[in-house]
Amino acid sequence: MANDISVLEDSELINLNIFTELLVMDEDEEDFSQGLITTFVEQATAIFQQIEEALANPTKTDQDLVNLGNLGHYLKGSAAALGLSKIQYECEKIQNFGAKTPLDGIGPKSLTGTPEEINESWCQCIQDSLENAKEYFGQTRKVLAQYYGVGI
Amino acid sequence: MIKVKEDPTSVGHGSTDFVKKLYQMLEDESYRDIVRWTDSGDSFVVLSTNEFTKDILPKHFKHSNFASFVRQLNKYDFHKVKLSNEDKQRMQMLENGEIFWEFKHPLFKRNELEALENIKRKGPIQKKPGDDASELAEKVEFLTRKTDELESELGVVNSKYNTIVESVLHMRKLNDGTMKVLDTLVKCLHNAGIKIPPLEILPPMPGGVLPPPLGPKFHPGQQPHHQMHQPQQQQPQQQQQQQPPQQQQQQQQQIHQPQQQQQQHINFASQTFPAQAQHPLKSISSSADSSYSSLPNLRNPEKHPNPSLLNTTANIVKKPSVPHVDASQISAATPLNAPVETNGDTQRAHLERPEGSPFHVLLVEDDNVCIKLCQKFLMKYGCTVQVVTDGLSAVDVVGKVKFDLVLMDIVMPNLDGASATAIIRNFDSQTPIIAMTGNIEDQDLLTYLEHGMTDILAKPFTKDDLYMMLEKHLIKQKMIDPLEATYTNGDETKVPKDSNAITPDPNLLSEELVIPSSKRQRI
Repeated sequence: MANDISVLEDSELINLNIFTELLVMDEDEEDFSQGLITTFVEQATAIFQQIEEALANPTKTDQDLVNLGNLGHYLKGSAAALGLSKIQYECEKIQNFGAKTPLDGIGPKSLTGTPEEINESWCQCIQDSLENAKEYFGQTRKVLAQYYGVGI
Repeated sequence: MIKVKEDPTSVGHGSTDFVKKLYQMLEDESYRDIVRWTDSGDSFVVLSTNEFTKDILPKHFKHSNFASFVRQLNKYDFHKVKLSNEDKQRMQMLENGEIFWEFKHPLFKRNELEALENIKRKGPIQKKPGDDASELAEKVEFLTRKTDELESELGVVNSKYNTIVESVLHMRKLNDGTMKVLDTLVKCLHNAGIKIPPLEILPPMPGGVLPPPLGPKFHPGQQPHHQMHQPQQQQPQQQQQQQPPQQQQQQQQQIHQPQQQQQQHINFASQTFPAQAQHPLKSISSSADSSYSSLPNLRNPEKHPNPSLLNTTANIVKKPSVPHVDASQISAATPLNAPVETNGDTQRAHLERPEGSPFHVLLVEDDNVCIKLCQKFLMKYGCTVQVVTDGLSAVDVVGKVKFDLVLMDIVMPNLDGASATAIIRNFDSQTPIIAMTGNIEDQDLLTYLEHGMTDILAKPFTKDDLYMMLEKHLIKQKMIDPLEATYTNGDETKVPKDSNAITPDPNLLSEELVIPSSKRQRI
């Protein structure tokens, strides 16, 4: 059942308005959209790893948070360009948390303690968003693999 | 406090007077129910503070202030004894539940009158322990506040320092870029056959005394470019003189590395600007070297004594000249073709504008996915695209190549898009620069426009969003200033050819264009 758009639609992971625009490009250049997805997968894998490494750091400075936010921003842009809206949203959260700003009311439950503890609270939120993003990432890969009929 | 001072028992008499009076008072059995020795005889209790204050204090201490009494006890180093529950219960039997005050001093014991002599007031420094304590507390508070202030100030200074260091780094990179530009100019002059002792002739150049043969080759937009570098000119020259070419070359390679990594798909035509000589080792290419190779190699050997450099240059010169027509065909064909054909020659490509390109667009973006996508859209529109991946490279390349439009990401390594735009605006006020950004808060937008951005394209954008932006700025620009499009990279002989290319060839443009060509003409 390759190239069945309903697979993508049902998943609710992907903004089809944006994604179908990519598919149109395949008419000019075969496998263009798939190539984009492959690039994204490589990129996301690398970014996730970088975020994890930063989170594994026992003491989190403000600079660490800024870096984490930047990583979130970076991947957010890629995900948005491909219409991978759920991943995009989690990345936006990471971006905001890195700037110590809640998103849509989501943020640390309490912000008390030493600066280190506060940073840790934000990092905990980033950790949660990362887990979500990775979950969506896995699901997205799955449905896209189904769609293209190849391993993604 | 004041009351105690006035109290003759503490001021007018010996230091142990108060203690003696206290002892006398306790010996008076008639006060038993109000104040008395405890059973052990090494402490005393005030059982009823009310009665004690009302009746006994005035009699023995000539005041009726229990707090003063306690304070005085404290001055003589008596301490309040915390009553255990058991004690309280025991006391409760005797009294009506009032709070008891038990005081103790190690030397103050029943039947030990001699020891009383040794109970002294605490030293004069501690005369007003309460005052001192509060003073100290104030001082501590003040210092703490001061420390906090200083800490936050230090934070500010630190961040300023970091900003300055960053700026310095940027300036240094820009300076390197300037060196390259100067180097290029010198080579250009040499290649054009103008004999100049390279380093003496340079200073007047930025002042506007361009050697006549070179003048017309430069696009008007580039003139201020020299001005921008004016303040820096002294230093680069010195460096140019001292720096071994090898090192110089390394720097150039470093600067262009991000572009290399990005595997940009750039269309290019013949090399008209001898700036190619900047990358002698990397610029060997299978395609058009025509203009360059047709120029006599007048490079000053003293300036580039490195044999390998000279060899490379020689190789380039030996290459057969590719006719211009071929180059035009290449670039004319590419907008509709897969980028693969022109892939892999990123070094040279960013130094030239593809001949015959209707729209040459610079894409400044650090995200691979966005690059691929945006580039695809642009090429589908019929643009030729050049990609750089940071603000610094953008400044560099805009200074060298004429673009019809710049699409600028904001968050990027090395130099952010807004700052890069501000720098570009120092020497190029015309090229439309479009900010591509996910931050579309009013404040952000204002900042971008203040930095000299022409317009803003909110991320993520669709193909149509992008095309609307292209329509708005590309076409407008062509209509207002058609000469703009005739810009070449310096070879005058090509101007007529290029001016033909300013009208977009309808065949070049994709059929799927959003804007019908009729509409294009109207705009």
